[in-house]
Amino acid sequence: MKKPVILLVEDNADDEALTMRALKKNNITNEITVARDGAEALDYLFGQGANAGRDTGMQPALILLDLKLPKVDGFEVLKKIRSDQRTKLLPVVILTSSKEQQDITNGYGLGANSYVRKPVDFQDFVEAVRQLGLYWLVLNEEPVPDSRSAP
Amino acid sequence: MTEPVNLEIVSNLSAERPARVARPPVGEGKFRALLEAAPDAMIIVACDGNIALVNAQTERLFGYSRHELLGNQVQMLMPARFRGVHPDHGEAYFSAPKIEVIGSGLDLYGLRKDGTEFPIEISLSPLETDDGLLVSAAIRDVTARKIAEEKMSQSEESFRLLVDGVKDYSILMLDPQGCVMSWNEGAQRIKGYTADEIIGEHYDRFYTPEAVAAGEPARELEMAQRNGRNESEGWRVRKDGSRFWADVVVTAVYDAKGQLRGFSEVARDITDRKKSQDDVSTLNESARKHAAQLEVVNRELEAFSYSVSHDLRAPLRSIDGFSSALVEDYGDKLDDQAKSHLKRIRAATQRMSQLIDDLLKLAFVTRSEMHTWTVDLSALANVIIAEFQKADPLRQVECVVHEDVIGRGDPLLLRSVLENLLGNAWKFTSKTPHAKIEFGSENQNGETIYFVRDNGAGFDMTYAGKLFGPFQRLHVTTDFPGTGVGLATVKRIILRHGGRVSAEGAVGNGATFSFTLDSNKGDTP
Repeated sequence: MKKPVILLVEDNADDEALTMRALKKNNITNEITVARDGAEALDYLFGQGANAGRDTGMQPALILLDLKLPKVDGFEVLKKIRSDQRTKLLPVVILTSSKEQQDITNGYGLGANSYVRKPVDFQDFVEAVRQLGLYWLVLNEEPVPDSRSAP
Repeated sequence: MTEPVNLEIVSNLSAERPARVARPPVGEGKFRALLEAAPDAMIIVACDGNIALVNAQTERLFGYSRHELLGNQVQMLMPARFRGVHPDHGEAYFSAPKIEVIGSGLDLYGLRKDGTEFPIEISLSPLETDDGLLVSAAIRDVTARKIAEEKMSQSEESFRLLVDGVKDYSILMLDPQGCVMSWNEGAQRIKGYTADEIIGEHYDRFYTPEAVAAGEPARELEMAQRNGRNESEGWRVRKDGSRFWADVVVTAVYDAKGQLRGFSEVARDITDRKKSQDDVSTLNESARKHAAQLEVVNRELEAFSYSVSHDLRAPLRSIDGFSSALVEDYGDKLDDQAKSHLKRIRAATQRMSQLIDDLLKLAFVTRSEMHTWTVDLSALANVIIAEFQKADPLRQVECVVHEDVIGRGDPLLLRSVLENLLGNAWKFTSKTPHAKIEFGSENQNGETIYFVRDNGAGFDMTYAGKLFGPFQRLHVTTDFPGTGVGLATVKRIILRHGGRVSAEGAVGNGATFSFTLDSNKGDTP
């Protein structure tokens, strides 16, 4: 069975490369789809724009969401995810630079499942990604797909 | 009854002047009936002053029967003090007879048979007869009217005195066109004109030229007429041209028939009150501006912090991440020197990252909202020390925390104060053989002084002033790590609490940091 996709929403190419590296170092072999701004992320999730025609029945197993993004910011993306039947139950982990209280409060307020601050120390970052992968891709039980289409 | 009266006239007149028999213009009977029907006492007097005829009202009014009156001098009905005057007046009247009312304006009195006097008004009419000129006098008792007039004038007098005596209010009457009809002392004092100068003048001269040009005086009268009264505040002008801020009430005055008689204007000089109100609102305004500016600064600081928080760390992650990747991926190609360089790069990014975090903490101290509570500082200190011990289990430090040290302030910020001060003590005793840290409070002149004391590295008092400045350090990082933000944070927090902070120490002999809190602050609701 094909491993479900991880959607990485990240505009910084360095951070993208480092995240990929950290995932690989932790043997997380899921396919990674990268959206480089909020609009791209929404297009992917809802099968629109450049992703028109994508089967929206297939949704990522995990969304790693940065907050400061061009065009549509992370909070806006999260709001849209939580207000659409197709995506509202997807696990969303905010993965960002800041630990500003207002960001954390906003993030959880809009329905984020976790809030993780990217550590500057790469070893710490690798460890954080390892724990995230272990928790969200292995330990955590997903809701059954049927409930997604429930009204 | 008719005939005898008539006979009396005839007999009396004929007795005095047989040649000139009185002949009234109507028949005798009718004339007498008219006389009796008159509401007033009627007395017909001959030119010699003798009473020729009286009616029943005369008898009732003066208390004489007509027999006692007829043929006698009319002066018997006057008080003695008028008698000397009357004959002349009488003669003058007979020489130029006309219909005349006397007694209005003069105080005339009648004299009753019993000697009492009463105020009267007399109308005299000449009566031409064949026997010569007679005078008919209609006499009215005006006692009731006099009393009423007296009362009225007393009440007017006291009203007048009242209004005149008011010094703090300008009280004046205007005619329907707005011209001044009356003036009081208050008006003179406040507006500067004497009554002579102002009565008859239009009241718009009390207004500023701008107000007059804007039609304000006319509008105020119009409003008063429409609504009964009009109250306003505004600048008014004195005689000398100076201005005062007035509180003015204009009231429309109507007579009993509902006809507009004019306006009363009551005004007060409230320049002083206006000035203090203006001062207060100026103060409020400047306080409001300050608050607004502070708000702007705070918001800018917040935006700055937010941006720092998000953007400044990302490059550090890249530097650290790719340095680490270099070592991992190309370690076999790098010599020890290269690896050492990369290690230094990574250490520097860690340090930079720590600086950014501390900087953000410092900014948070300034911009965060304060909530004041009573905080158990002893308990807080114990928790913090326990955390240090847990992170550094091998350290052996004698920690003395006084019991029941209580402070009032923001729990989060006070925690930051103790974390920094105890953290410094923990850090600077790391090379001291028998490390000791003490936290407590003491009372000095009624004020609670909190202190954190250690026997660690201490510092040179020469540089004590630098201690609380941000990024100021008295030790090299290799000896004791740190960014120099901790004490700056402590100082800001203590200042925000309205307290003071100070430090004492000596190199190698430990340090004591003391602070106070403004204990007068109430709990945050």
